[in-house]
Amino acid sequence: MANPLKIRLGKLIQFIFDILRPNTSNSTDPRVPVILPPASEPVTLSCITVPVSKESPLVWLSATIGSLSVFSLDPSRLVFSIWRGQPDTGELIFSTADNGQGNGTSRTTTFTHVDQPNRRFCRKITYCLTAQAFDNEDNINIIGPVTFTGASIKN
Amino acid sequence: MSSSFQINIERLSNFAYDTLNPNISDSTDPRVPIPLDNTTGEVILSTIRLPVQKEKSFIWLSATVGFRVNGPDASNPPAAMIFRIYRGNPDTGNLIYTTTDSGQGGAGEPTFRTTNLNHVDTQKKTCSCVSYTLTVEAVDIESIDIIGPITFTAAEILDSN
Repeated sequence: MANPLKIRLGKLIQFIFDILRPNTSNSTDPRVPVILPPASEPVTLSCITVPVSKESPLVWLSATIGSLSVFSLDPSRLVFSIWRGQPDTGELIFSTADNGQGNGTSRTTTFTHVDQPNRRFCRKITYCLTAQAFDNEDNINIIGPVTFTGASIKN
Repeated sequence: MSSSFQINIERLSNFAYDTLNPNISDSTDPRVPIPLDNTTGEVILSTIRLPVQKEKSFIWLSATVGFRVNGPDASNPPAAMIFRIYRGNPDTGNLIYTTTDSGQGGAGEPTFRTTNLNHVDTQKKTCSCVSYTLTVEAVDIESIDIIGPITFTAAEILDSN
């Protein structure tokens, strides 16, 4: 007599990540510190390339960034953005603003987003994470950790 | 006698999410801005529905909310933002998570802030679909706007035990 065979396919297609080594506050990784002086352009902190499902692709993105505000009174703010593609040519798909104020003030910002790319995109999508400081009087330094993850999901 | 044989390829069995469109700071999505003051009370930010497997599983919930503490009037201590997650809706559901973040700032100029939440709901499932509601309540504040982003996700992870 036949046994019922049940195969359940999962939805997590791939998991891609980028971290500093060591991924600590004040990391010795040569990628940090990233200095954001007053009136500076956005700086790329990390890029990951995520293989995506051909059908109903979703990419669950998350990031954690540690920063140090050297000296900035209000209204200084730190804007983190995620681009589908490169920052100059790609599409802005997420941004969030956190407080950049402080006087030797350490801060950790964490956020998540879900990208639902159009099916016309290729089998792999590059996502870039950028940081930009606005209205800061002195430098804001990205000192670590920097974590950027992309979980490719078939919905 | 027959026995069932089951292969689980991996553990993520369901995923649901809600985001603003576009999901950015100062989003043009009509769902924001959401103005908050001391009289506003609890406001629903997002609701998601997740199909779930019948057997035991965990639901990993995460959320990101961007808000602006407005100037020129400062929101002084103990100005706070209370975020809550309900299984079901706030009136009839179960409160399963709360966290309180600072609502201070806005002295002269606005203060921007991002709050991120993580929780795992371990309640045994009694039905094939579960909904979760994310709310915010501001206390002792002057004026705060929820401006985006708003991200709310639920991932069902099968329990191997």
